[in-house]
Amino acid sequence: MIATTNQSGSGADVAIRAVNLRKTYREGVFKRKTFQALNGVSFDVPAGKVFGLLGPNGAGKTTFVKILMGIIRHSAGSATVFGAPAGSLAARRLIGYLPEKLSLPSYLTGFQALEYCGGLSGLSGGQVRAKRDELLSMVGLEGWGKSRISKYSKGMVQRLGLAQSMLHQPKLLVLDEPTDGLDPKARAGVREILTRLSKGGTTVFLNSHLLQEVEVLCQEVAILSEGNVKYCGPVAGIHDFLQVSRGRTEGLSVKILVAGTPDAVASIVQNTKQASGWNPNGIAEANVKPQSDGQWLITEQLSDQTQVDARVDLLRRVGLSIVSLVPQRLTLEAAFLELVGHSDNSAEVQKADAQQILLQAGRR
Amino acid sequence: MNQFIAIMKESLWSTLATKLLYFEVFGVVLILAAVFPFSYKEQVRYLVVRQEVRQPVDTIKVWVATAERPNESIAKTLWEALPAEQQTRLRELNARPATEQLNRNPNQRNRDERDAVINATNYLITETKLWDDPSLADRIDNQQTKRLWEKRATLSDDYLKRLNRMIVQEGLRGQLSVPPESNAMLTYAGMDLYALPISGIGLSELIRLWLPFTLDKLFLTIGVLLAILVTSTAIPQMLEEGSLYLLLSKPQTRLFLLLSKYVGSGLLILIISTLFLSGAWLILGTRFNVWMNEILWCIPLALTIFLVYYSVTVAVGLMFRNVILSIIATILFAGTCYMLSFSRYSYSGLVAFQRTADVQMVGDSIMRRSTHNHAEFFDATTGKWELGLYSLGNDMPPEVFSTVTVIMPSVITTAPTYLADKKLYVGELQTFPPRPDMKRFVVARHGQPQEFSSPHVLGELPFGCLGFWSDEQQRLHAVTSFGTVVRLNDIGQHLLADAAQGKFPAPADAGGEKTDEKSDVPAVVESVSTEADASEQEEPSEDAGTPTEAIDSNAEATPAEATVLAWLPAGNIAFDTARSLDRIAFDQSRETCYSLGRTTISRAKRGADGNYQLETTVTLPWEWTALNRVPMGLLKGMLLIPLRGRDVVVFDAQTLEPVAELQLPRSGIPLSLSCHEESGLAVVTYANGETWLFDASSKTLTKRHFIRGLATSTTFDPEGRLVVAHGVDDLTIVDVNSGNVVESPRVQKNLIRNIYDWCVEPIYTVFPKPNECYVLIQHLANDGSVDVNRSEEVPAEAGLDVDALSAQTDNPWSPLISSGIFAVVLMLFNCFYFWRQEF
Repeated sequence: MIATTNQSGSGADVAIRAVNLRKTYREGVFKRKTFQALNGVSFDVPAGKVFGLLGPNGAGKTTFVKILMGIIRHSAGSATVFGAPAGSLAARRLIGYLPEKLSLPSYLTGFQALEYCGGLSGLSGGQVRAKRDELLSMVGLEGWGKSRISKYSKGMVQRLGLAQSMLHQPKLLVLDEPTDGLDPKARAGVREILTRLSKGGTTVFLNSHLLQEVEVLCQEVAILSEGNVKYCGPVAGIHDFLQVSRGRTEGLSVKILVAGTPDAVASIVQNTKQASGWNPNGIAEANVKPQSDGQWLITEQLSDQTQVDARVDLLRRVGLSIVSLVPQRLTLEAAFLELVGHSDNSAEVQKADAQQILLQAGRR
Repeated sequence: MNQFIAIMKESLWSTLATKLLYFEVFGVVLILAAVFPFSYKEQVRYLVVRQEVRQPVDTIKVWVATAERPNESIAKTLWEALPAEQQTRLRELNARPATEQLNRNPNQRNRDERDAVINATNYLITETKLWDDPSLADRIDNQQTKRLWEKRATLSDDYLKRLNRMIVQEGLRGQLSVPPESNAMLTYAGMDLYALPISGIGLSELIRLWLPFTLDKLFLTIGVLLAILVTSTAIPQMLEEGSLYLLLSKPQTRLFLLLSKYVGSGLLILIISTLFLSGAWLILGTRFNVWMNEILWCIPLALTIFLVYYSVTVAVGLMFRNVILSIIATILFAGTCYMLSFSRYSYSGLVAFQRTADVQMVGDSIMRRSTHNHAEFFDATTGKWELGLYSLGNDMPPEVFSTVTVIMPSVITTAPTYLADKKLYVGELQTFPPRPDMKRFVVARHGQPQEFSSPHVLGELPFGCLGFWSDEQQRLHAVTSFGTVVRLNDIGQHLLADAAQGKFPAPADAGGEKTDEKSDVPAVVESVSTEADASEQEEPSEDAGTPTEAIDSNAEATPAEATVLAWLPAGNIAFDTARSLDRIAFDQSRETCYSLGRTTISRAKRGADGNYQLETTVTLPWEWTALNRVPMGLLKGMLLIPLRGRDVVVFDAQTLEPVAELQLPRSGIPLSLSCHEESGLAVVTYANGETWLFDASSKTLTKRHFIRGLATSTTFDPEGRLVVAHGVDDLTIVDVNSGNVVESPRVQKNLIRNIYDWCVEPIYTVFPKPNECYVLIQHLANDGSVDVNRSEEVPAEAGLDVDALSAQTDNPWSPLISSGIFAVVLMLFNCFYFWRQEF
């Protein structure tokens, strides 16, 4: 399968650019054991868009984010954030980051936490105080600023984390599972915030397992699997990509619900005897399924619109009434599963997960 | 800057969140608040208390008898000033038969008499105006009473009562103990608490003495470890995944993040220690008048100690990200530091036995006395100190063993002397348990080392023997610890007896006199000692034992086998065993003998009969009272006395008048003094490691660095070169004029020394010593380097104990330096680790 790199934009249009990025973990006393977490990852994140990074466990998503934030160093290749080397101070000044398992000191109040995080980002106490109420209100924590974080629920901490990431008005927001632990209402709120930020020109880099959420929020996605980019591009383009990757040129699947007599239906079925003889251009019998109330569902894979028109003409010609005609497309989830080969439970991923866990445990 | 402030604030919030901090701050404030109302006030002592009435029965007897005599006396005046009922009561008690006393319960015995004396004397002190009686003026002998009497018009009520007390004291001479002029009354918030048995100055000294120790244990150890508990959570908390990723994502370097944590925690310690120590400093200064600036040194010390421990906490925290583990590791580390110090201390105790206490030339050989009481010769061919003679000091009499079963006796070998007769003489002095009758010296003949495995007791001297010399007739002389010069008459007999048993060669080899000379020697010159020391008795010292008393008892204990030639007023030099003869100097012909007393210098001449006759004694000025336990040397007709402190005084040997007073820039305790008559040079070594060269021709002192480290003892060899004993048993021979090292004999080390030098000491040197940092406070508190004007505060007990000197050879800054270096190195390692680590 060929990875899409999508690296045509100029530096100014690109928020994140990864070129042949590799990361090899070494383990053991003599560092002989190695594990390739990223295996030449290349893709661009266009500025001002909501970008999703997808992949099964052990795919290298977290490793990529860590390289981006300077938490770990890459082994080869390069990664830049708005042209600055990933992990550098210049790059980190442009980023607002919300880690997956956010842990803010529980002895701090909401205001103090914002002051602490804002201070670390270079903001003065006055600058933080000017923004904190608005931000807390934005994430739905108004009135909680003076309460200790130890009294916050998990979702509230996550929202406070989101607030601190936006404190210094970064050009790029890197969010690791931002809606994890949030109730549906809060999720909708976060989605709204991210959409608003995106419209305001902020690039949002979303690392999430929630495919539906990514599908709704993101304009572009990258799918990683076993350290490789399986897909990178617009969410809408994933179907075409899959078609191409499957080697098919025709790419339209339709479902037609028709009403009519059984004889009429029988007349369009392939190889049925007609007055003019046998019908070789009919619809395969397997694609026609009877429904209730004298209706029939016809599912067909057609190459283009001409074929669709011909089918409609045929059905109308034999006296069938077309109740509905729905063109069929792949969901992101389906595409994801297809791209990663249902490999969530595969032995390889399990092995990769185990290695990742071991490596993390070893470093602790 | 905003970033730094943010981390500082977070550190503060973090520690504020720890309940232990509240406990610590609360504890500090509580201690300061509780101590602040304490103070003291000087209270003039005038009332007679029970302990001061020595023998109440005798007191009454003497008082009544004096009152009945017709002649006027102070006691009679006192008696007449008593009310009639008190006189009657005293007469009744005086008439009480002695048998009645004996039949009483021992606890009740003398109680009535004591109460009556107390009542009567206190009545006289508080209710009468003895100080206003002009008839008493001429009868007062005591100088202090006289001085107070002259100022009576200006005295306060308390001092007038004190004057009354002194008059009573003089009237009942010898019956009442003399109390100090004042004592410190401990007060709390203005209320009198307890009258301490010491004066205000004594209290100040006590505080100065104990404060470094208290600060070390209370603050530098417990306080700092508590601070570690408070701050130990910071790093592991920071390293939690969600917290760390957030922190590292911020535009700060890792170095900045970690160092800020250090600074944040250190700042907290700085604030708490400043609060506590400046509070303690202020309280001691304002309430007890002890302005001990060294306390403030504890602030940087506490910070250094904290940083040492905190670096360990951070290192373990970084590696294992576990709070409990980092606390346990820190406590284990602190324990290791203590254990290492203890091990080194114990091991150095073993090595200290081998340390040179005293070095001297015997012919061409160098001989030394080790602190283990071995008299040893240096064999240049093997590089070993060969055993000459040693003392076991275990011949305790049965009566002592019955009471003292655990404590080993302390017997000091003194004055190993190698005389022209090729015999090695060694004196002994038992200092513990005290045995007035312990009086012996031993002698052995120089030969093969194995011949000296068993010392032979040849004679006994009162209070031990401190030194020997022989005259031109090879007659052995010795000096006792009380300055008694004796000629030992019966050595020949002992040697003959030993030879008969095959222990020694025939005494004819020695070439000395072997006959018993007891009959030739005239009697003791007792009158000399009494007169000489009378001047010392007049000093307003209130020591219980006077030299006269000691010499009297000494005279009674003089054994028959030695003949006392002269009592030299050397004062009580019994504890000055390490220097033996340093306080007695002879001219080259031994015609004249000089002795240094506690406050006197005396000169005695040898008469035609061979005995020394005292010629003159001069009492030295009070400002030179630091004469106690200092050496004296005779050089080119001058007596050189390096005092404790900064003064070196030169006297004319003829007139005994001071001819020069030289002053050192730093105060010190003189360790040894070596004089070389031919070159007119003398070398003084001090306990602070300094060596000063005295030139008799110019009467100048020059500081010289002959060797690296502390010289424990020096002597001149026959060629006029200076033999310096230093380190443990090292020797260096230097040319005094040029200061160049002429020869540095390689001393072979034994296994213990090798382990100590190559293992214990290097580890100890490199390892941090946070637990020993208080040594610096002690050093600053005691040493004159901080304030040279405090030379008089050099502790009288310190200095001449060589074991104690071994500890002094350590640089007091060393614990601070090693701890500081360790903290910095570990901090850099932590920064490097944090910088390199991938999380």
